[in-house]
Amino acid sequence: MSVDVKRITIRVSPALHRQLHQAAADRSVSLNTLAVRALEACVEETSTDQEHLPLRELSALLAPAAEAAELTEEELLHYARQVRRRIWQERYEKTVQAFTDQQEPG
Amino acid sequence: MSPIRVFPDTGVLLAMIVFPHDRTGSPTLAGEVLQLYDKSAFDLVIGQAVMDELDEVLDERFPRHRPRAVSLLMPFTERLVRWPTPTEIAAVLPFCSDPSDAPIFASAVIARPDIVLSNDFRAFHTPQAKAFWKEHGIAVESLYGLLCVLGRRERKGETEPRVAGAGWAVQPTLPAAVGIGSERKHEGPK
Repeated sequence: MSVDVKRITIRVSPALHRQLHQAAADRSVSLNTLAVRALEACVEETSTDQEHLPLRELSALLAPAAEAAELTEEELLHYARQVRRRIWQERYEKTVQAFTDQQEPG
Repeated sequence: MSPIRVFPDTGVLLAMIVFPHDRTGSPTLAGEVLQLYDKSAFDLVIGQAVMDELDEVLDERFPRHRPRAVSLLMPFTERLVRWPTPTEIAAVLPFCSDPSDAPIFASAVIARPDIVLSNDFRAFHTPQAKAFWKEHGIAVESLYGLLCVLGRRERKGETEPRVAGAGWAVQPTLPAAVGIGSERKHEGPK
């Protein structure tokens, strides 16, 4: 049975070539397998970087929960405003005020 | 051409996630924006300060679902715009009608988006806030406004003068931070 594969040729320095051989030997795989895994990881990482935020998945999780709890948009946004004010008071207000005081002349 | 980069306020992000449909099942404005995001019509750039608020809301209002939500967002934490420094927050304070908005304003400046997206008209669309966004080369839009930018709505009566102190003539009656539901489907000058 034949497997459809494509062949690519890459040029590396002798030093990297030695290191790759050693890395493959350490993992008990061929140099080809090592290179394929590295290339697959690279492609996967690139595609993850380009992914959108999972808003649709979050929505599928939270929209039914809000509906079940009869939570209205107005209630949630009002609560979000309260959260903003609480975070401001707890995390930012004093440090920003201290910074502002330092900047004032005299 | 790169897609438009949009920095959402926490309120619109919550509306997109939690209220994409109204009670009849029709998409809300937030839901329409979410659909466009799914189609890569624009990019979202999220601030760590916004994510902090989102996390607090999840913790308090959706405690059972928070672990799953956090695990969904975890791979994206490195892409969040950093927290603003006290210096950066102090610099934007004069433009904020409520000081608690300052970390979000400062985060938006750090993110350098094309558009700041908020339906909180009393915070993000005031004359001083608009002057601030303009100074930083950032447009500020509501959900309806973003749909106009993306060609899904028309700015009715755009040639008419807007009411001083508000983005649209209907807005002075809106309570702070509760604009999204009220704006739904009928934003624009009357």
